[in-house]
Amino acid sequence: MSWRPSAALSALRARAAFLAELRAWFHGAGYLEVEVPSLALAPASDPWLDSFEVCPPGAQSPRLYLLTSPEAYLKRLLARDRVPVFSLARAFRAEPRGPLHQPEFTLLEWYQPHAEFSGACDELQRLSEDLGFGRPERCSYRQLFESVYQRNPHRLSEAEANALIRDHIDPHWSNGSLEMALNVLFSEGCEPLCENMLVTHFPASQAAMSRTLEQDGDLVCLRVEWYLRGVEIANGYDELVDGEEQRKRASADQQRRAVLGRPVVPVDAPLLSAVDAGLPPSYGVALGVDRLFCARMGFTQLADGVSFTDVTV
Amino acid sequence: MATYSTNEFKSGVKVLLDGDPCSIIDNEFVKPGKGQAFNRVRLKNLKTGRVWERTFKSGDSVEAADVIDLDMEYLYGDGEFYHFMMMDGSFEQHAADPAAVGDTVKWLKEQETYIVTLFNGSPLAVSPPNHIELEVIETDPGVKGDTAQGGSKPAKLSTGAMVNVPLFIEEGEILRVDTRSGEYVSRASRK
Repeated sequence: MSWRPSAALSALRARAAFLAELRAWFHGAGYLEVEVPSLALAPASDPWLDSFEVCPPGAQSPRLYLLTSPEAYLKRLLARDRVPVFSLARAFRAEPRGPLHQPEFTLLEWYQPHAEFSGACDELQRLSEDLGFGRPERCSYRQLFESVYQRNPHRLSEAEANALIRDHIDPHWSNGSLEMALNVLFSEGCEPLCENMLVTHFPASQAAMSRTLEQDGDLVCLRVEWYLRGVEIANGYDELVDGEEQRKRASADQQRRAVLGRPVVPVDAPLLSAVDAGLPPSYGVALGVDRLFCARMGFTQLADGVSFTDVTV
Repeated sequence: MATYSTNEFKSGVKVLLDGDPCSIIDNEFVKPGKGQAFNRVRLKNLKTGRVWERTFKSGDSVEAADVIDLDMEYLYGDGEFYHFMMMDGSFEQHAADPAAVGDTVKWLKEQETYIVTLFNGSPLAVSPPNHIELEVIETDPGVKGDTAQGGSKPAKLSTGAMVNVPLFIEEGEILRVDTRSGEYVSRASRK
C-alpha cells in the first residue's frame, strides 16, 4: 500500500472550499451547527447497519459504538431546543470499501423542526440549484419503478419480485426476501436513470425512522432520496415523532437482528425518552459529503475526492 | 467442503458456479440507502473463458473450486491426449484433452514449460509461456540483402502455427514469437 495520500492537492483545495460553501449555505438557511459525539452507548437499531464496536483497552465493558449517523443525538437536541440544527462530521459503517463506499466518511445531517415533508424536498431542490447541479426532477418510487418494470412495486409478492430480477437483471439470481429483491430491482434498474432526481414515497418496509401513510391504497413511507448521476447522495425522512411507534420499531429491529443472526445491540433508551418527551413534527436529511463532492468534481470514485483510503473491513 | 462468503470474493479467488470453476474478476459491494446489501460480481468461467455477471446477496456463500496453476513440462501427444509432467521432482504426469489445451496446441513444443491449470486434479487449461522459440519449417525463399526494409510474408512454424515474418527469414531458422499476440519478435540468438 502506498504511503501517498489518495486525492490530489488540487482536489483537497477544492474540497476545503466545498466544505466552507456547504457550511455557509446551512448557516444562511438558519441552521445552528452543532457537534455531537462520534461514540455512543447504543448504535442505530436498523438491522442492516453495522456499527463498529469499541472497547477501552483491557476492558470488556462498557462496549461503545462508533456512530453510523448523529441522528439520535441530534433528535435529543431537537426534543429539548426545537431549533434547526446541522452536523458536519465523520460517520462510521462497518462495511467493505468500494468505489462509492468508505467505512469512514463525512456526513452532513440536518433537522428542521415544525416542518413538513414537502419542505425537505423543496430544500433539497434549492440546495441542488445553489450548488450548481441544476433543478432535480421529482418522481415517486412507484412511478420510477413502473417506468422500468411496468409493475406496481407496492403490490409485488416476494416470488414476483424475485422473478422480475431473473427476467431483467440476472437469470441466475437465487431468491431473497421481498425487501432484498426490491433493493436489487431499484438499485440496478431505477437508480441508473436518476441523473438529478428526488425520489419520494418508498415502500413502507423501507421506512426505518420515517412516517408511513396510505397513498392510492398502498402503504408508503415519507422518505426522499436525492440521486445525482445514478448515485444516492442524500436521504430525507419525515421523522417519526410518535413514541409508541418508535418503541415498536426499535423492538421489531431487535427481533429481526436476532432472527438474522446479526449482533443484537442495546436499545437507545435516551432516544426513546426524548421522543416520548415530545419531538415536534420535523424532517431530517442525511447527505454523503464525499459523494456530493465527487459529483461536483466529476470523479467517479471516492478515492479521487478523499485524503486517505487505507481502511477497509 | 470449503466455501467463500461474498466478503471473501477477491480478484483471483476460484469458486464453483453451476458446477463450473470460475475465477473472480471483481466484486462490488452495493449498499442501498436502506436494507440488505448485495454484491455485483464479475467472474470468468475457466472452462469456457466467458465472463459472467452475477448478483449475490451479501453474506451468501459459494463453494470453493479446487483449482490450481502448476508449471509443467510438455512431453508428447499421443493423438488423443497431450502429456505433461510436473517439475517438482515428482515426475507425476497429467494427460490434457484437446479442449483443455485449446488454442495453446499451436504453441506446444516438447521440453518447453507450460502453466497447467488443474481442476479437481485434472487439466482444465494450458497456457503457453509469453515467448517461445520455434523453427520455421515452411516459407517462401528469403530476399537477400533486404534486412532493413519493411514487408512480410507468412511462415509455418514447427508446431503448425502461422506467423508473419520479415522477408529475409529462411526455412530452418529459429524465431522468437510472442504467444499472446502471435507475432514475430526476433531471430533467436542461437542460430
